[in-house]
Amino acid sequence: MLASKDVLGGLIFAILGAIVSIASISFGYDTLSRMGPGVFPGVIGMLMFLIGGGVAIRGFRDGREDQQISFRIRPLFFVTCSVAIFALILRPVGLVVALMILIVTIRLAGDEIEFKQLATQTIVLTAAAVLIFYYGLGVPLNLWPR
Amino acid sequence: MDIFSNLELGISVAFSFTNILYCLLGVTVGTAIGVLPGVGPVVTIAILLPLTYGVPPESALIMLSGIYYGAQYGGSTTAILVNLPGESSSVVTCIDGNMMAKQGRGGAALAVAALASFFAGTVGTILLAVTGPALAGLALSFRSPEYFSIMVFALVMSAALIEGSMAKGILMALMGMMIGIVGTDLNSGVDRFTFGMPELSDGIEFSIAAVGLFAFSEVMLQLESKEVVVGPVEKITRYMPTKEEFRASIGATIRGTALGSFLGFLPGVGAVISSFSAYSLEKRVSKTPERFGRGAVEGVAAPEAANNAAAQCSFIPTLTLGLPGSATMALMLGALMIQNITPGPEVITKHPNLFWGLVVSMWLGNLLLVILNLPLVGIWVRLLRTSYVWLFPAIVVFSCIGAFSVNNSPFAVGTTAVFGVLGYVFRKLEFPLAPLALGLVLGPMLEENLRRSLILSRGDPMIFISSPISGFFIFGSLLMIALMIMPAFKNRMAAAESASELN
Repeated sequence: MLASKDVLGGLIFAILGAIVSIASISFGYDTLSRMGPGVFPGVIGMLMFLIGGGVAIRGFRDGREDQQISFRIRPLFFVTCSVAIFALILRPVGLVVALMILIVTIRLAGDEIEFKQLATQTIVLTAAAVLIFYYGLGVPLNLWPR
Repeated sequence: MDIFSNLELGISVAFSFTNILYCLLGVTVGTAIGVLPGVGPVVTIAILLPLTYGVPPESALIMLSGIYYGAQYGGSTTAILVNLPGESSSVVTCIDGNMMAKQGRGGAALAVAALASFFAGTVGTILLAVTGPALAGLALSFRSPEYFSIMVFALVMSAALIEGSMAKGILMALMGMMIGIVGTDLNSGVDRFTFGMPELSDGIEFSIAAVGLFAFSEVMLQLESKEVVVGPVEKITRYMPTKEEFRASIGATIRGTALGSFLGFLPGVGAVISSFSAYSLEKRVSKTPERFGRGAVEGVAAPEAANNAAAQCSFIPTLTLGLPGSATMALMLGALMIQNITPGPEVITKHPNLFWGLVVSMWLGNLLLVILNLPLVGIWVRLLRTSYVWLFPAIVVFSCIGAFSVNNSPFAVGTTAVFGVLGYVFRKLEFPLAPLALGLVLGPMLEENLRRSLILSRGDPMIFISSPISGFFIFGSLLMIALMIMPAFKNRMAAAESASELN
């Protein structure tokens, strides 16, 4: 039953909480009247650890049927990657090329790609974004590769 | 200055030609995104926020708030005609609204929804005008303990009043606060959770996190499910409600408005909960509760009035205390801050143009929405036919450039990708995002006020209880937690929930 939503979610929070509260020791506590930078994250980490653990244990004990996790990797992967690639290449290749690459890669996140539709989409969306953001609102970016 | 001369000032601001245009732009965009599933006001405002930099502050706020309450109207249109809630605040409107449409009363349902919203919007505007300055005056005496306790209350409310377990809500609020810690601590200069990246030392901008959390995770989830099949659009025959319908909706509208105003005023509650509560209240006071779910007009009027009243009234704590009660309100404050206006009780007195202009524009915007929504309903429904294949690349493109323009930094765009994954994982595990957003916004303020309070009291935590206002909110938070833990209450909530699902 480790793969249930509450167990997994609770564990993520409990582990994160433990890491946060241990890390905040090094920030320093000082006294309560002169609260150091470690107090607030320390308290939050502890609460996350305790409540997260509680949620995980409760989920483990209940073992409900509707708690199975199902997901598809394709949208998650392509949305994340296309945005990350856009962030990396935006400055070097300029707005137009970066947008075209973004649109093509983001379309891979959906199913059934028709070439003609993809081409229209790329041209229309790129043109619209350049018109609105570059010419209309003057976002400070170079249009073409440097 | 009395309220009438203030309103006169507001009229002169809101009815200037450019501000009417900004208001119209805001409510039109708002209606559009309200109709489209998968794009909400939070994301839209987050993307447009950095672009309001060159606009005068009152115009920026008039437009952004128009998007917010416009979305409430747009969401109800699709709920009624297609049984598809465009926004989560119009989920309950589907139940009776769509049933009315199936019985050929779609036009009447739309009219009732629009008029109920308009009534609620008018009342909300008056409440803002009357209570705003008074509350701001009271808030001038608030010190850090009061602010701390109100923020705790807001976080507890947002965690408690979501569906699912409160423990998960609180965990998400904590997670939000933890993300809010990232950056250099201003008091000590210590870097916290920056992982040695200089870009993170200023902390994570809320609007950037919001784009990833809400927009990208939504795109991922939508693409995962099979293409949404838009059902048949019900025909509209006659807008005029019958006499009985009209009479029945008056009481429901007033009750919905009252409930929505009260709940919207409380930080951390919001429009979604207001519409749900208004629906169940109507069912309880009705002499013929069996009509609900079969096209009862009260089931349209009450939740629509409530969500609009709540949307307007949530501006009250935001503008008078500088404390946002929801993610959208946090973005509104963000819009003020990029104009170098510090949110807080002084906003009304220092920037009367802004406050009174906004108040009047809200009323104007509600009027525009009635005009936009009733005769033009066909256009909005056609918008719903937009294929997601076209929609999602546009959402991602606009989000990416929007995130970039916050600080003109590609690093911010990369940050949205990370938040997209986070949002996706949390939603998959059924952890609610709203408390996280609120925690992220309030976290830094919470820590600062906690620290200041303890300096004031020389380390004595009793300071949070000894002040009556602060004590009231601490007590309220504890009461809420106790209520949610108590099994009897929990069971009743569960029963109410399953009952509304059955209908």
